[in-house]
Amino acid sequence: MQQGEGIRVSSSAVAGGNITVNVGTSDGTVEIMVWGSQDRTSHQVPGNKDASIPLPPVGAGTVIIVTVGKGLRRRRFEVVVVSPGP
Amino acid sequence: MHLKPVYLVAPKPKPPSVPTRRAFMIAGATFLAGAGLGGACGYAAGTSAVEGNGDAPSRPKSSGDAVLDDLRRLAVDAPVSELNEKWLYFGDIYSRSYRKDEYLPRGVERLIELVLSNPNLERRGHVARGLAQFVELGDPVLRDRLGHHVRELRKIR
Repeated sequence: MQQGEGIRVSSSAVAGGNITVNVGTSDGTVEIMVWGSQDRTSHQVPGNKDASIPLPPVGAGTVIIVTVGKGLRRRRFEVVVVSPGP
Repeated sequence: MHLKPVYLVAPKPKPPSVPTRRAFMIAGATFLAGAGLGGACGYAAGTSAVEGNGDAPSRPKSSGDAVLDDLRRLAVDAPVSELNEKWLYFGDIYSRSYRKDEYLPRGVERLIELVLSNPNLERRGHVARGLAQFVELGDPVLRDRLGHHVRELRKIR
């Protein structure tokens, strides 16, 4: 789990699964993007609760960036997609 | 007997002329100095022209957009350690808003060079995978310029 300024994000996520995000700040919107692409999706996250956000359809090894906040307050977290267990 | 003064006009004495050998030496030295200076200036002008013929001029001018100028500074001028530290910021804004900028690929290129040349870089494999993905999913200009590094980056564990 990665932490920073009231935000917690899982550092990895299983392909086809979800990313767990907890936002303790007033920023209730979380953006998910596949690193390097222009495609971004926004998700509402309830304050101080773990939210489970579905991953985009990508394979294992893909790097996903989770961003919270806007402008200078924007925080970024890297999440690596891993393959599901055997 | 009456004596009358007679004035004879002597020719004006000539200044001593420079001996031919010394004149040749001075002329030769002047020519060599001029050739050297001209060559140096020509070389400088030529190399700067060659640099300018690349994908982007080496030094970006102010764009009037503070965010873009900061990204360009990171890409071109900032120490690569700072660029590495701010990679998520750089890549996020670059891929979000400035995919067509001509200077920003240089930042990705510098990071690739850092990863490829530093076997002991912290989280090297992770950074390499992120860079490979960033190039693959980037603008066609970025892919054309840096796509040849992707295979090598993917090999890094």
